[in-house]
Amino acid sequence: MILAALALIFVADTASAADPAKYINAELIAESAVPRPGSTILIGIRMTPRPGWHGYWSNPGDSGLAPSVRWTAPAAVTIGPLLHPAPTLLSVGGMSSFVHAGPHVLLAHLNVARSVAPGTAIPATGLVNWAACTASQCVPLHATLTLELIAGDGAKGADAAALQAAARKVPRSAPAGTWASDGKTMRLELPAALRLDLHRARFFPDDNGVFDAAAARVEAKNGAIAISGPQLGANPGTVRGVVSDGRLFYRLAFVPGATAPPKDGDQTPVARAATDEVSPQPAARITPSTQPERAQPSPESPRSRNWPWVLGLLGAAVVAGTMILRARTRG
Amino acid sequence: MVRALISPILFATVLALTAAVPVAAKTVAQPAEDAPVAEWRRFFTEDPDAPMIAPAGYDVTIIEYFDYQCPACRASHEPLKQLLAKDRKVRLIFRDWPIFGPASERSALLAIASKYQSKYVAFHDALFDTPRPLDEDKIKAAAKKAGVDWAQLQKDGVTHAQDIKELLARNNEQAEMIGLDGTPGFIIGNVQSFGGRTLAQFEVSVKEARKGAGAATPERAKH
Repeated sequence: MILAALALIFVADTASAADPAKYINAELIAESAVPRPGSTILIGIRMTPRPGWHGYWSNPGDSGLAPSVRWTAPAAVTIGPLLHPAPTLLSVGGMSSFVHAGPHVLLAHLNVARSVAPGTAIPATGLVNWAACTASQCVPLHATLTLELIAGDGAKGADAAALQAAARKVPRSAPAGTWASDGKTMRLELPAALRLDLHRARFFPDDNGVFDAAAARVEAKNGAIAISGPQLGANPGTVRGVVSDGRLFYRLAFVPGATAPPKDGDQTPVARAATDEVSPQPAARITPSTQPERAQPSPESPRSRNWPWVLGLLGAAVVAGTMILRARTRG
Repeated sequence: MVRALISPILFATVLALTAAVPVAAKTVAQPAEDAPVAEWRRFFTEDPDAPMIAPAGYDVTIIEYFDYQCPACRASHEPLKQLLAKDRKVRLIFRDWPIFGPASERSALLAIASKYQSKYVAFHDALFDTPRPLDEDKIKAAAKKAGVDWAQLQKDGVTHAQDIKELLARNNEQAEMIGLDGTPGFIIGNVQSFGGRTLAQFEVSVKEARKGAGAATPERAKH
């Protein structure tokens, strides 16, 4: 309980300290300010880093902290998990971080129950915690952001296009690949359908301690793409994550398996030109069902084990929110 | 709020003080706003509860404000260790400032508690070497690696809970006083800064601190 009290003091104090606009500004936007009852709209936290500052992916890598949000909304409103665009790799001081270096949007789906009467106010408030870092500085940031939604006809707002563009940047689910390992090197075999730039493709695992993503190499053999890298720790079961070349990105799982035998007629090596010609399948509108594995904070999160912390943080959140609101009102 | 009360100007005055103050063997409470500058300086540099590495005859003091989960703190951990290995006249004061959430706070609390079994530095190193995000299992593994007696650590955490809590509060006040929004923060000699450094950058700062009017005079070494 003392610890929880400490959490309260510190998070609250910090919340009053750093101004997000100096580091990474966060803004809550919605596809429609008047969502239609019975529909799902896109909402997003638009992150705008100042030059030199970066935010973190859902798995921040060796170091860093993933953004988190705690929503408060009427019972008729349900909001899904945050969906990130694919990250990029940042290596500093021997540590590899998975980051968002430029402006980016963390998406979520907001559903309004059919039972809501048009004209009803359905405000959604998110307490957002995120970290902004440069190679040498890190700042914890907090904000309480509110969408003043009113149930209506679903007319699109000014941010609809930006949110739809952000949705196209959320990695789509791809068929599973397989992994093979000799205990030292782990080889991730991508499913054949994925066309990625071999020079830029990277795998970003959802969990650390499995695969050294920074040291990995991409190989094209027998018409298939594989990403090989040092294995960390014992053999895992399924390895999940995102594979990205910066332009195309897929969310997929690798299941244990023998290396897939080459198919007849495949060309070797995989033509690099082929990766450039394509657009991936038309960017599908992301539906919540495409991202089931990111539905909850990763199981390694200390919060999931230490429920008293959650209370502390929740309390702190309320205090922080109140302070910010009060400060805003005054200002 | 603290920042509003104690202006950066006052802090600059504090740093301008050249004379070191004898070490007191009890907790240094935050001075009154109009307290003498010497007293303010002691608040930063002579806190017996704050873990430190103080070689005999040190002539420069570095105070570090840090969080075990902050990537930039992790990146400058190794350079700082290298500096202390190369330059045996640098004192380092550890100001745990957990600002990246509950796991950071838990780590800081236990790290400070480990000082009661004289394991702070080893545990501090082990925590920085532990892949994040930290959780109870990883903290425990780091403690084991550092040779910390876990059961004793839990006891000390309870017995000294108040001292630890007050130290963390003082660290927080100081970090706010010097205007830190994040970590790592350093006071090297009389110069405060926000952001990690390379070994070469640390060396330049230490050299400047020695040259500068504000370099601390040697004091008797502490354990």
